[in-house]
Formats: sequence, C-alpha cells, structure tokens
Amino acid sequence: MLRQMIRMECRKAFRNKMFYTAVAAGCIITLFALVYYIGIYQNELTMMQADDVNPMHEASGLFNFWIGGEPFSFGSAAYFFMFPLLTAIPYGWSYCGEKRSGYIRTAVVQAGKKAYFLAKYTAVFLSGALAMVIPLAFDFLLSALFFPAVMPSPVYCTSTGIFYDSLMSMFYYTVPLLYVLIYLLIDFIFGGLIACISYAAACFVRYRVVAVILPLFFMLAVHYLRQFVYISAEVRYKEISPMFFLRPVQAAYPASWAVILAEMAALFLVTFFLSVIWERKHEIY
Amino acid sequence: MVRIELDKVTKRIRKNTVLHEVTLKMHEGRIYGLQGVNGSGKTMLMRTVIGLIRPTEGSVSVNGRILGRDMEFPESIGFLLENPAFLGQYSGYENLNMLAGIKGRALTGQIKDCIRAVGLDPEDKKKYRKYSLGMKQRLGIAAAIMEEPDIVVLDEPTNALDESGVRLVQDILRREKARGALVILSCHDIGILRELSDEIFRMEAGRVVEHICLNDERQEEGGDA
Amino acid sequence: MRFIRYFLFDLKQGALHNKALLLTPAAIGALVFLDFLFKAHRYLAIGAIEESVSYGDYWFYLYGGMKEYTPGPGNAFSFPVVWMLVFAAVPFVLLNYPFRDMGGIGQQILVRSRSRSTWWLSKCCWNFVGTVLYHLMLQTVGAALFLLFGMDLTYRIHMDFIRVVYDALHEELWERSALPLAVLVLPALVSAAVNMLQMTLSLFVRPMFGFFAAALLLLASAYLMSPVLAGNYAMAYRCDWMLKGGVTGRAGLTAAAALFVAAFLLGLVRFHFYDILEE
Repeated sequence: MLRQMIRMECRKAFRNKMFYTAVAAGCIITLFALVYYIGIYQNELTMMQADDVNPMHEASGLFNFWIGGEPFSFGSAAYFFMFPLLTAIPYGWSYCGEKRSGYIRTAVVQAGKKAYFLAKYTAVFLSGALAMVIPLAFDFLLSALFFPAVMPSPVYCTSTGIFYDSLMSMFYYTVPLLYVLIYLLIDFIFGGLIACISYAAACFVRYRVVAVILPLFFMLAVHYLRQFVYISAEVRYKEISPMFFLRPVQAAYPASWAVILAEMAALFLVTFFLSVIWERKHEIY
Repeated sequence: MVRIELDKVTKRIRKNTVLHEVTLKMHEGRIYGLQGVNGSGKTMLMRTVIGLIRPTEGSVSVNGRILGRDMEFPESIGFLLENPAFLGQYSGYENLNMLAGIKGRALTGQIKDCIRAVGLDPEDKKKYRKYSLGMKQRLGIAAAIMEEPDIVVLDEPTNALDESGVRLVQDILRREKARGALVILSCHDIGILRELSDEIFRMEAGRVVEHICLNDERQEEGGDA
Repeated sequence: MRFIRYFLFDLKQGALHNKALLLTPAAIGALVFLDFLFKAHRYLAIGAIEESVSYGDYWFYLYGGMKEYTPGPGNAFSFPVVWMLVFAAVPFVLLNYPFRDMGGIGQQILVRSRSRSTWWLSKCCWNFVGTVLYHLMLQTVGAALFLLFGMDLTYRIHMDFIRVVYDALHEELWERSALPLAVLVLPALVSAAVNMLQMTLSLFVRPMFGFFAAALLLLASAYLMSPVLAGNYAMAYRCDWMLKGGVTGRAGLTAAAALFVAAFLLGLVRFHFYDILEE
C-alpha cells in the first residue's frame, strides 16, 4: 500500500504543470548567468590569446563559470535567492489543496494515514529536490558547451573563490567534477527538505499560496540570523545560511560539514515530525 | 417585467468548450430548471447569466441590455452558486446585513424574515464558521432572496438539506415565482425539478439538448382531465 | 457612495482585521531594532562611531538598502537582507486577500455592486492603504521601542554610523544630519507601486507567480543600480540626497506613480474580462 501510494503521489508531483513551470523558471534564471559569463569568457579569451607569458587558462573554466561556481552574476544571485520558492512550487501546496477539497478524506480511508502522509512527504521531497537540481545540472551541461573543463588551480583561488578553508577545496582542485556532484547532492537534499517546509506549513495554514511562499521567508529569517551571529572581525566563522552555503562557491564565509549536516538533520526532524507524525494524530474532517 | 435572452452563447476555457451555442429566452414569473449530469454546463450557464464570466461568443441580454457591454451585472439579481461563502467570524444575520448594506434595499425586518423563512434563527449569535453544511446552504438561499430581486439563480439549493429543508426551498421558490421573479434553478432531483419548474432545459456537454415546457404539459393534462 | 461602502468593507476585512498585516511589520520592526541596537552598541564600544544613534539612523537602517554592487573578485553579491525582508514581506501579506475575496463573499458583493471597476478600484485603494499601514506599523513599533529604551527619537542621522553599516567611502556620500520628508515618503510609495504590480500580475498568472515577479524585481533592483528598476528608489542609500550620483527622488516619485497607474489601468482592463471561477 505504501509503495503504491508513493508511486501515485510521485506521479501527481511530477506530472503537473507547476513542476514543469518551476523547473522551466529555474532554467531560465540560469540562462541569465550563462549569457553573462559567455560575455565575460569572450573577453577573457581575447586577453588569453594576447598574453603569451601567462594566459591564466586555469582561472577561467567551466568549474568557476557555471552558475554554481560564481557568486557575481544576477542569474546566480536570483537562483540562490529564489530557490525556496522554486522547490515549493511543484508540490508543496498539495497538502493544503487536498485538505480544502476534501480529497484527503478519500485518500486516507483508502490508504491509511501512515501511507498517505509518508507518501506525501516523499513526493514533496523528491519534487523539491529535483526542482532544485535540474536547473543547476542544466546550467552545468549547457556551460560545458561554452567553457572548457579546465582543471582549476589553487594559484588562482581569488578567481575561483575556493580557498584553502573552503568546503571540499581539495576535491575542487583535484577532482572538480566530483566536487560538483557532491554539491548537487547536497542541494538535492536541501531542496527536498525546503520543499517539505511548505508541507509542514500546510498543517497550519489554509491557503496554498501561503504554504508555498513561507519557505522563502523561513530561509530569509535564517539568513537574517547572520546579523546576530557574525559580530566579530577576528573570529573565523562558518556559513550558517543555506542561501549561501548551498552555492558550490564561497560567497561570504566558508561552509562546513557540521553546519550543513546539523541544519539538514534539524530540517528533516522538524518537517518530518510536523507533517508525518504530529499531523497524523489529528482528526480529518 | 424581466426577460433574459441568451443568443448563441459559447464559452471556451483554455481548450474546453463548456457552453456551445446556447440560445434561450426566459421571462419573469416563471421557474426555469436546468437539468444535466455533472459537467454538463449548468453552473457555467448560471455564471454567464449572473455576469461572472463573459461568453467567448454570443451574448446574454437582460431586458434588452447586453451583459459585459451595456452593463456588467444584472440590476436586480440574487444567487447561490456551488458552495455558499460568507465571513466566518460573523453570525448569519451579520453577514446578510453587511451584504444588504451595499444596495440598501433590504431593511432589517426583511433580512430577519428571510432568515426565518429558510428555517434559521436571526437572533442566533453563532458564528458562520460553526454552521453545519445545511445551515450554510439555508443562509445562502436567504442571501439570494432577501432583496426581492427580479432574477433568482440557485445552483443545487437542496444540497445538504433535510426533508423539511427541501420542502422549505420548494415553498420559497413558489413564493418567488408568485412575486414575479424569474427563477433559474438546477437540481439533481428530477422529481423536484419537474414539480417546481415551468420549463426545463436539459443540458449535455455544454449544449441545451432538450426543452420541456412542463406548464403546457400540466395544462394539457388538466384539460384532458 | 457605493464605492465608499465597498472600500470601507475592504479596509475592515482586508486591513484592520488582517492580523498578518498588523503583526508582521511589528515583528520585523522589533527584530530589526534589536539587530540595530546590538550593532550600534558594538560600534560605539569599538569607537567606530562617536555618539549614540537616533531614530533617523534606525529608519535608515530599515530602508537604506545597499551600496551599488560592482561584480569583481572578492566581491560576491550579498543581497541586503533587512531591506529585502521589509519590502518582500508586504507583497506576501497583501497577496491573498483580493483572490480570497473574489472566491468567497466577494462574489456576492461584486454582483450587488454591479461594477467590476468599483471592485478593482476598491482593491487598489485597499492595496495602497494596506502598504501605508504596514510601513506605518513598522516605523511606529521602532519608535515605541526607541521610547521604551529612552533613545533619541529624532530624525537625526549620523554619517559615521551609516558609513560603517554600508561600508561606504567618505567621498561617496554627502554630509547629512537629518532625514528630509521627501525621503521618508518615497520607500512606501515605491512599495505600494510594487504591490500594485503584483496584484495586477496575479490577474494574469497565479498569485504565487505574481509574488515571484515582485520578489525578483526587488532583487534585481538591489543587484543593479538603475533608474529603470523601481526598487532603487526605495533604497534611501541610493538616493542622490545621500549618494553622490544616486537616483533622484523626483524620478522616484514619477516612477512609482507611473508604475502604480499603469498597473491599475492594466488591471482594470484585465478584470473587466476576468472570469470569476471558484477554484
């Protein structure tokens, strides 16, 4: 029953216009970054061709010109600001909608509460995760058509933005593709969990639009915490805001596994508890 | 004197044709029933007559004035469409009083009489959000008739009502007809529809496929008898 | 007369009874005040600023925005979180009411009023008043906290504080001592225009995409200092009153008014043909 419910919920999550719209919107945003960097690369190419002594090939390549590798373009700024919306739009609204329409009564009676809520959580997670990662992968592959996959060099760390204390900097300068894949995995998981915030919010709010937009404000609130945390110029802080540490490049402070895993665990525990355990205890009218 | 004319009204929503060249004429003092399965276009037709949606082709005129061109909504109309919707934080009377304040046509006494006529208590302070489905339906009907409109449009008014409620609705509709209102009614109970309506339009897939004049049938039967 | 009744209904239901509209700016105002207070104390303690801050500095902290962004190595784009929170919260809070109303008792009111234009005009007025109420609430809570903490409740500003907060060079800014009235009004007007745009866009696409567009406009305004992007006029830091070569207040007023009117007219036409279907 659970497997069937998961299959059904996933079908509903992926075969819906909102999913396609969110992915398309994400891909369009990444194109802003791509176009910006194609222009920059053309200039760099001209300079490289003119410079016989040190063309600095390693400073300009796929791994620091794709949207995840640079924190300068509008595309990058927009994507890593709007991603909470992009992940919630595909299916984060579904629980709200099903409560209002009364569909939940039918589903729960047929499948049982546990199967329904677990399947819903899985579908929301997967749809959010894919909505986060597909545009990034799209941009990476498209960028690969324009920028050479040059092995980055630590000599040019100011151009790449990956410093000795950046997360997985060793991977970046030795196996950059693995670096990108690991970051895509981190983004995949976080994208799914952030979408689940809207599912958890749907346990308390009546309107779909409110449930979908709340994750953005939640992320903004976490980002705002930085104002209270980063108070000393001497301390070597780690990045706490997902709006920054989900970028595969260092935007302000370096990311850290401890923070990433802690926030991942906290998000999972809270959203899972609220939407699967706590909500299940309530009566369905 | 009220008349409604639909002239080849077609409505397309995205790729679906929900109404197809519907042509009807309706007059005051009669009850017109809309019969059809779910999705046949009854509610869409009602929305078109109320003015909530614009026809893609054709026109709807009320007393010779075309909706959407000469006026946006009929001058005197009361309606209940699908689920009644009021403000949850107010009582039934407070909700109706607020609506009546817009045109200023219904007096306090009239509103209370209307609420009593549908079987509710106008002095009841219970908030609308605590109403049962049947009570909500009754309040919706009261809102539709309280200003004694020339046109009354009721979509499934007997939904969620018990036997006494259904009889109440029937009495109300007969009174409205006697008052001279033009009543458009949809109901899944064909017996009730045939009992109340003077004419029935049977709809299928957005088209009017049959027009039954029950009044004439009744007169003929009466004549034969 | 009918319009006034309509508008009073919207004002009551959509603004005065809208807990989110009243509580959200209060929460934001209080949070930003705490942040501002801690920062001010820190800067005073380390000697980065000479004297204690005043309400004008708090206002500037709320509405300042950020300095012009120039992409370059070591200068990653970091959006102005305080400003974004202030300006993104209000379209969110105002988003749902018109469409909730349209699907609910609003239908009854709309048909009784017999005028789609009246409904739309009333909603536009509600939108404007709601925005003004939001910003008033935001500033009032700040003022109340200033009184509570016994701080200077004047519109004086301290340039040393502003330079530290916005990491500005001395020569970039004019020397100012107090906030002028025109500057006080502009952010709220621009905010009203953006909210109006959101409401109109939501007649064409789903409301969540209307919000998406409004948020993107605000972010784009932060990213690029351009007179074309309306959000720039809502950043007190980027106004030519403060920043040498900044955007002009007059252009801001014109842009806000033009955007508001354009959105109003577009919405009026769109709503005239809008199919009101329950979802």
